Amino acid sequence: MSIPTEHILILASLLFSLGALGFLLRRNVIVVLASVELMLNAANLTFLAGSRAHSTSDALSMEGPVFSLFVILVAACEAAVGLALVIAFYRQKRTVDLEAATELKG
Amino acid sequence: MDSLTALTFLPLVGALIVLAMPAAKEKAIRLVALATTLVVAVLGIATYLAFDGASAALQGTVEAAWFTLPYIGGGEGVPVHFRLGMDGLSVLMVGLTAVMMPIVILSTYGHIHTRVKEFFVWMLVMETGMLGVFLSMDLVLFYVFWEVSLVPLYFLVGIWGGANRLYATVKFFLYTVAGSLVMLVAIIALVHMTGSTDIGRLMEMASNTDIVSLENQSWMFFAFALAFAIKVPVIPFHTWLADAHTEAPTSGSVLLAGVLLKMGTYGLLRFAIGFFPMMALQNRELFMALGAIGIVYGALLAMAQTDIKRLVACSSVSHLGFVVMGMFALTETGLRGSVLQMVNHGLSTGLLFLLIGMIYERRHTRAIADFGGVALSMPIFAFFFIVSMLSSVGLPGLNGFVGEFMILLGSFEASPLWGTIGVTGVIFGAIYLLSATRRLLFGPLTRKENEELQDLNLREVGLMVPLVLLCVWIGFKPNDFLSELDGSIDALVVRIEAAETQLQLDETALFLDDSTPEPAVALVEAAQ
Amino acid sequence: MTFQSTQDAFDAAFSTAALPAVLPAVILSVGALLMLLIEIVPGARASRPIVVLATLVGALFANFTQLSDPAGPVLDGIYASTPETAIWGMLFAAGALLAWVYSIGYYGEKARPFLAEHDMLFLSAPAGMTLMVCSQDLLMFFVGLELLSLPLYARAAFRRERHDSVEAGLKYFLLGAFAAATYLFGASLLYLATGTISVMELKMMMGDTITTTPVFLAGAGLLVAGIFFKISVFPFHMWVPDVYEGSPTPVTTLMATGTKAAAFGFLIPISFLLPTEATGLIAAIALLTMAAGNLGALVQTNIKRMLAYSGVAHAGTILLVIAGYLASGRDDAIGEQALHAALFYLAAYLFTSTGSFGLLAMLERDGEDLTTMRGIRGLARRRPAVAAAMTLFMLSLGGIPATGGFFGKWFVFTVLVQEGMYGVAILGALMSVVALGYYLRVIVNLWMEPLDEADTGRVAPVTLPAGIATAVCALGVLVLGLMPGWFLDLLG
Repeated sequence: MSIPTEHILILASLLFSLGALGFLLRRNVIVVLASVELMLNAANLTFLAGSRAHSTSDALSMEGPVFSLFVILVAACEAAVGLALVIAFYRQKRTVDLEAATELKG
Repeated sequence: MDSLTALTFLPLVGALIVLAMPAAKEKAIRLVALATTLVVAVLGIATYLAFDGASAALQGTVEAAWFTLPYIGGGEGVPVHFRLGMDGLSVLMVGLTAVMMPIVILSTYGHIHTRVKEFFVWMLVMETGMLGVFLSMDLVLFYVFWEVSLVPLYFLVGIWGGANRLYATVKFFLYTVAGSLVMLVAIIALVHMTGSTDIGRLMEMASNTDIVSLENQSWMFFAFALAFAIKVPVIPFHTWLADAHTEAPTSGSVLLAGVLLKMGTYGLLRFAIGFFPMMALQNRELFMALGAIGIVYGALLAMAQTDIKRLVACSSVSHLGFVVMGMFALTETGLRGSVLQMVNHGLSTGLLFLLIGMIYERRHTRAIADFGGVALSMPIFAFFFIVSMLSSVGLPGLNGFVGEFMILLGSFEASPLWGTIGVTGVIFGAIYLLSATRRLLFGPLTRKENEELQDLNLREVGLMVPLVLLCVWIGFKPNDFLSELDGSIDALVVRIEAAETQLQLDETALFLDDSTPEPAVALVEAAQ
Repeated sequence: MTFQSTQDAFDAAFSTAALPAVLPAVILSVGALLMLLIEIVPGARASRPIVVLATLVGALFANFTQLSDPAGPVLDGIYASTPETAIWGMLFAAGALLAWVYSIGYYGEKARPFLAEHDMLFLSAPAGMTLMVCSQDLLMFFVGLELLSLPLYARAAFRRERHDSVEAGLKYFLLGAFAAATYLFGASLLYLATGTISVMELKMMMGDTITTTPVFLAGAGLLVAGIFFKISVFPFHMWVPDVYEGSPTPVTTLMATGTKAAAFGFLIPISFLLPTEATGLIAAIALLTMAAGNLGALVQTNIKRMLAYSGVAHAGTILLVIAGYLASGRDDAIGEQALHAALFYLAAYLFTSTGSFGLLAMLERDGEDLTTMRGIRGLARRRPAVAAAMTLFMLSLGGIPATGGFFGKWFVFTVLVQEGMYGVAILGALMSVVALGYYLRVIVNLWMEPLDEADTGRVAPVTLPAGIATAVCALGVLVLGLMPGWFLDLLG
């Protein structure tokens, strides 16, 4: 028995909203980064659900899976750059709290 | 090269030459600037003399393809041209500009001593801008010149102005640009609806309700009128003018009063009225009222001033109120008088600013209270001041009288109420100008500084003589100048009359409905 | 897209016909990789400027050949080369080249060993931008976006010993990651609703009932919102000034011009995804963006920050064309016109903005405080040519005629006026009055304020590269303003 697409969609939306809220509300950069990952995974889930919904018995809808592979790839790159930036930030401020990002204002 | 292109761009060439000269060679720079403006003046006068005033057609037209505005106008795009030309209105303005410029340049020997090179570059760029505005016969080209000409004055006031110059110059720029940008939207809309940027063709198309609906004509008319009303300036947009005039260096004030403000009245006449005569007729009372209020309000403001330069600046508002009132009377006399008054105001107010500049250079004060009895120490100055002041007041025999008289005559035809209010302005004008003159020139010499004042030198006298001669000439033989307008104003009046008929027909048509008897409908339709 | 065999799929994707179309992107990517190699090959470091110049000029030329004879859609329809993309590509290469030229001599001794890394950005960024505007499906755009963004995050923090630079990098990264995630979720919803990620196929579906389902609309909305982040539209503009101010100025130049242009280059062609009912919303967002940018800029004393806010306002202005397009009922002809208007506007903006940021980079070299309003006081007395160029750029940003900025504004307003949106056009026009308020302040400080006598002689001479770059920018601004026909002819 397969899970209905609507249910996956609801789950994905929840994940995305959770991620977005985490991004906007949390001040710890690591948590913020994790929130972005949640949002990306919401997209991945939807892509796969879409692929299943649009595939027929003799033709797979490949765009979805391929897209999610790219998303995973890019997420890894983003993590690499992002964590490097977080480390540079930590070296200067001795904290990963975004409240400490106060150099630029006005 | 054809004469109008040469006329327009010669000052720019001069500006480039000055730009290439070393800044230390101030004498040579002054000479180059003077020579350039003199050549332009000769060219301008030659153009003026060659102009046939009886004809309504554009003369001396130059046309070259510039670029094509894509898409608008049904796929083909609208070709934009570098198009110059002149009619009676342009030629008077061009003549005024060409004559004023060398005088302005000469006047700077007295008061521009710093950053001389930059000053003359901007002066000459300014002249190209002004001539371009008066000669452009393509709407896009006109707009380019119109806004470009703001920049030089912005610098002239901002660098060489008085203590409060930065406030004044930014205010001037932003006020004018605000109006211009609203006009820009109207211009784009007009070009889109008509598919043309040719000012001559737009004259016919803009007022055609099949091409531009009445509703659109209405907002466009106000968009155009707003831009020009700010420039003139019409009450309530006048506050920038007093500041700009007060802070500007003498040469800037002369230029501002002499020519730049005329760009506003010129635009009102050519675009607001010329493009949308029906709207002008519908809003006649409003603009005549604004003009009349300007006359009185400007005069009252002038009475309250203690600074002689600010007084003249306020009198400008009053005089330009005459021009606007006469223009929107939309009668032949009113229109002619109003154009003539543009020239008159340039001459007499220009003269007054020159004189105030001269005395300021000597005394470094402009407060009227600091003077008194100057006529005793400076008789030549006093003579010129009185002549200029009388020309400004409108003494018969001098230029101001003819213009104001025609304007009042024209206004009475259209609206006795505003005409009457306008007349009071003449009386007020006489009061404040005569009283200021008395306090400045006559009475005993109470201050020691005033006793030692040097009278005008040859250069100073020389630069005023041509203007005074013109004042007298216009005063005695106004037709020598008015005749230039015959063709153009006649054509405009014909268009205004046609618009009036059209409006009346539209009004009648409103009353026609199904119950109207057949013959009446047929009659109206036949008339249409 | 389905194929009978893998061979069919391969042949459809990779034909020789695709080569000229992808050549610009290939050249740039190869150049970027070479730049990384230079780092590790002993003795090759000296060839750094040659690689940069050769790559960018090569890309410029490769795009130029596509101008007259574009290859159209290639690679199974996921990539397209059109006259518009060729012009975008040329603008990106030229912009990167100019920004790179301004970076010569900008960094201090400490950064010298890392300059190859730095220069790599100026090749990978135009490569990403080119992919973005050429992409014909949602995935390709995403790849281009990340190719542009990832190096840019790192370069924003390039001066890592400085607190403001690292902070700028971090903020830019977080903003970008959030934008990318939003875009991706939008794309996935669109895919779920329609089963395709191809722009062409999506366009053909428009009008189907499928395109009015909540999933589709939510997808379109999130996708566009993701791009809105990238072009710093209200209310996503908050960190933009921080990022621009903290980043090294040559990098800021690239962010302000190319990134924005590339995002618009893709956004306008796909704005058909938005329902026509969104016209009012987009117009309101555009006007709010203009207001936020202009009012923010009005109170700045740091010119770099002021220009950042002004960039926000310009993004708002360009966004107006999308409102015009939607108001036309998504008419294709108006869509093309909207794209061309944005192209012209951004071309002018590229020259003006690169020139003004570049001049700031040059002044900054002499001491940071020279990029404040106070710092440039009376600069005209010492450096008339620099002041004159800056004045020209400010007037162009303000949209005064005889500069490219004026016709850019003209074309944008034309789109609105054609759809009868006079009120929006007039409000937009009045916003530029506010904008002139702060552009004029720069001019006032340059020319009209007296020189601060205390810091005599602090200003170093103009370097040759910066001088040439400034001259090119000034020329670009003037040509677009006086001879707009030359540029319009390229668009056919």
